[in-house]
Amino acid sequence: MSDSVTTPSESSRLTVALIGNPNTGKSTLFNALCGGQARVGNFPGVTVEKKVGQYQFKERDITLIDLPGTYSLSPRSADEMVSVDVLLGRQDDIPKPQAVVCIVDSSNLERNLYVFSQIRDLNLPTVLVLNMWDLAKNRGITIDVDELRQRLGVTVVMTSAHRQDGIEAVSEAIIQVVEDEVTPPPRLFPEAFYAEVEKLSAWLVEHGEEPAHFYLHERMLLDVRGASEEATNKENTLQLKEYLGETRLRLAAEGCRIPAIETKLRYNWIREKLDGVMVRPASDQTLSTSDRIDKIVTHRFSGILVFALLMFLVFQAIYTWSGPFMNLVEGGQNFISTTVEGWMPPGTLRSLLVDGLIAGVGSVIIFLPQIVMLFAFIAIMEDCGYMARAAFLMDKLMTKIGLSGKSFLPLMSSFACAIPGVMATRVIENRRDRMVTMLVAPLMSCSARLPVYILMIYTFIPASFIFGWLPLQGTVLFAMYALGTLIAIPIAWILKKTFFKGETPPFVMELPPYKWPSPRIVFDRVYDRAKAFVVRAGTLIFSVTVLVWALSYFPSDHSELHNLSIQMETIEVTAPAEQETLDQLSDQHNLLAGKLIRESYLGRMGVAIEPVVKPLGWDWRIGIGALASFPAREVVIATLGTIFSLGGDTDEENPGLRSTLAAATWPDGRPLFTVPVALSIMVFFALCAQCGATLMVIRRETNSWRWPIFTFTYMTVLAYVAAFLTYQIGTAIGG
Amino acid sequence: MSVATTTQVVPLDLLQAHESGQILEVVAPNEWTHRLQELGLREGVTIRMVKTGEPCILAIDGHRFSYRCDPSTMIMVELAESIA
Ligand SMILES: Nc1nc2c(ncn2[C@@H]2O[C@H](COP(=O)(O)OP(=O)(O)O)[C@@H](O)[C@H]2O)c(=O)[nH]1
Repeated sequence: MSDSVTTPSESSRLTVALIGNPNTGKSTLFNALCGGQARVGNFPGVTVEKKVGQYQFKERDITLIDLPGTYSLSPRSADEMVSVDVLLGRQDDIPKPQAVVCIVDSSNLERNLYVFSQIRDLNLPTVLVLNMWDLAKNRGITIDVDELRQRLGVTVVMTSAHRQDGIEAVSEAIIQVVEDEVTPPPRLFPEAFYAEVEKLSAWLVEHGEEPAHFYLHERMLLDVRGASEEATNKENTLQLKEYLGETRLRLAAEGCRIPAIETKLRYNWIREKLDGVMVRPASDQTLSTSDRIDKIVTHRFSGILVFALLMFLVFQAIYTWSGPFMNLVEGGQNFISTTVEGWMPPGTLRSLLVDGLIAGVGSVIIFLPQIVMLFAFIAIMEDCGYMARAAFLMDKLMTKIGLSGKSFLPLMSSFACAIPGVMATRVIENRRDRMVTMLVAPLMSCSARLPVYILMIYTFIPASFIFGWLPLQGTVLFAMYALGTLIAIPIAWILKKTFFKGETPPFVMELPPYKWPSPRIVFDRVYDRAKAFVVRAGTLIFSVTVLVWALSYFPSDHSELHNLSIQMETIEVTAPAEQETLDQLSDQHNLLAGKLIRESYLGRMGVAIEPVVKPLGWDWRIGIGALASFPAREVVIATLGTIFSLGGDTDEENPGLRSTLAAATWPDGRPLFTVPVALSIMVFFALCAQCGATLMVIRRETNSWRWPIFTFTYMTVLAYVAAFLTYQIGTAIGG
Repeated sequence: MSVATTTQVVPLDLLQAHESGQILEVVAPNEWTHRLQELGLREGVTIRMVKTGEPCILAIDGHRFSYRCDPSTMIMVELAESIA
């Protein structure tokens, strides 16, 4: 890593880093400043999200870098090292920030100032933003801001970011502090400590290391087994560890015990600075509204009941509300197909458009409404503070399989998508727990499975009621979601007993007060995910669809089939009364289409794999669909759409995929899809690792190929066995 | 804060609901102490038990935490004898 370049000629350009504890309103402030315009990516080599925004203020171009929310700037892992590297200008792709904005929660100033005190040590121009000013006022907390400014030696701004209060003042402060002289950081540690840091710096240079910021060397001493220790030449690492160990012993002998000393000194400093500046009301003995809600929501019995009820309602709602939307999209899709068929003669190009693209991509887009709803529910539960309670509740269950409540949040977000879920495992401090959580996260039914479930349930599960009141379809959907979760329990338990043996880790987590979810935050999250879904449909699914279409179209000769289509379409226009001829032609057409697709490349592949999928109750077309979905599971819908559309199974009256599937038969005329077949397909998709992107994320997070390969293997085997059992048992019971 | 007449030191998990006290000492493996302290569970802080159990809910400065420790961690609390 080298110092990056800032072009001096662009003196109006300012790079500013934004940092603070989690839940202080950092994202809210970021959006308020940049107007939601941000480029989101990843820092190279690590899993930290890189969010960079641009805006203009008083003729200055300000680039704002959003650093991950953190309680401290003591890097214990490569991920946490990123923030330090950015702040010190050691991150290649980002210019060194000219100023830091440290955002804190005014209602919890004492604790939030911890990271601020570390940032002061960086000796950068710093703006302290006291956010949640409204909240502090409501709680009766008073802060003498002028005095605080004096004592801390930095610019202090009060904001209520969610109401856009004080946002301009933040920008004003930014462009001001870069002009001002920086007050040198307070020297909190005993002089002996600083002397040792100086010595360490000299030692490092002697050993051929590049000179680096003083703060890094402070961290080397303070963080036992921290990430800064690793950031040196390989040959020196061992020697350095030894040197650091000796130094720490020397310091301990002088009463400077590492790492305890740091928290002690910093908090003493904070208390000293806040003494007389901040006054909070005497006691918090009274029960707040949040406490009252918590009484019910975190209660052993009623809590679980509330949770189960909530989940059940979410799935019923997704199911019930999505019907009309689906019909709407499907109507649109039919309309487009018919229009295209209207102005194009039958032929290869028309087949590509109608059978390939419209049938393929269209059948995936139809599921956008459900996915939006699912993400909205999860975002709302997270933002209102409920998710943390659910984690609290689940801790009891999680400890039974050797995990903690911390694992709950990543698993819950995996219901939306395993990719953010796997990345969210970063909040788990314990490495073994993190690994186990990561490896079972893909078992949670993500939103890409939803289309498969909905398609199968909507088409093949009767719309009846259990006990006369419980809708069967919604219940099957719920069961599919429960399946992955239930299977994850023994898997996690086994992993925890074998590869990742260890104590159940402790569990400390903040329970933020309940509040109304912010529409802005919910909207942003949903929009991001919906966009990702559509982009995926437009790229990956599009390509696979075209490939599948080509494989199932060629090399057979389609001229006879096109002739039949032309004849049929002519009769429809000129002599619509000749229903008999039309039916005859149509049967002939479908027969021929079926024959052609069996002779295609895809058909030949299908014949080869049919013996493998037959025990699951599938024919070769479903088998190919499942096979084509290994890169991304939602592809199956598109693939089935294309295969069945080309295969001539399309119901002419109603060319949507649902009626097409309902009409599909085995060569001997038996219906292809029965309830056990539909269930076996759903179970297979519920458990199989059909997502290249998730496997790549696991590979990145674990930094090894071993774990994605492991995940892929165990899930695929599991899926096959479970689908087999489902079909066989289902057939035995129901026939 | 009123001065307690008699003081009693107990491990945190023995606190009854609504009892409060000052943290005297955090005994835990090194790395973990650090995390706890950064989160606010550190010497000298006044905490209150909101809900007992495993995990329990603690109040620190008006903020709520869920907390469950492992056998290697012990937080000693000096009970505040019925605050007026
Ligand atoms: N009362 C209050 N709420 C705020 C304020 N700023 C942000 N919030 C809310 O606090 C929650 C957390 O904000 P977010 O920006 O996601 O926090 P982050 O985790 O620090 O990025 C959101 O629901 C915001 O609407 C504020 O100044 N006052």
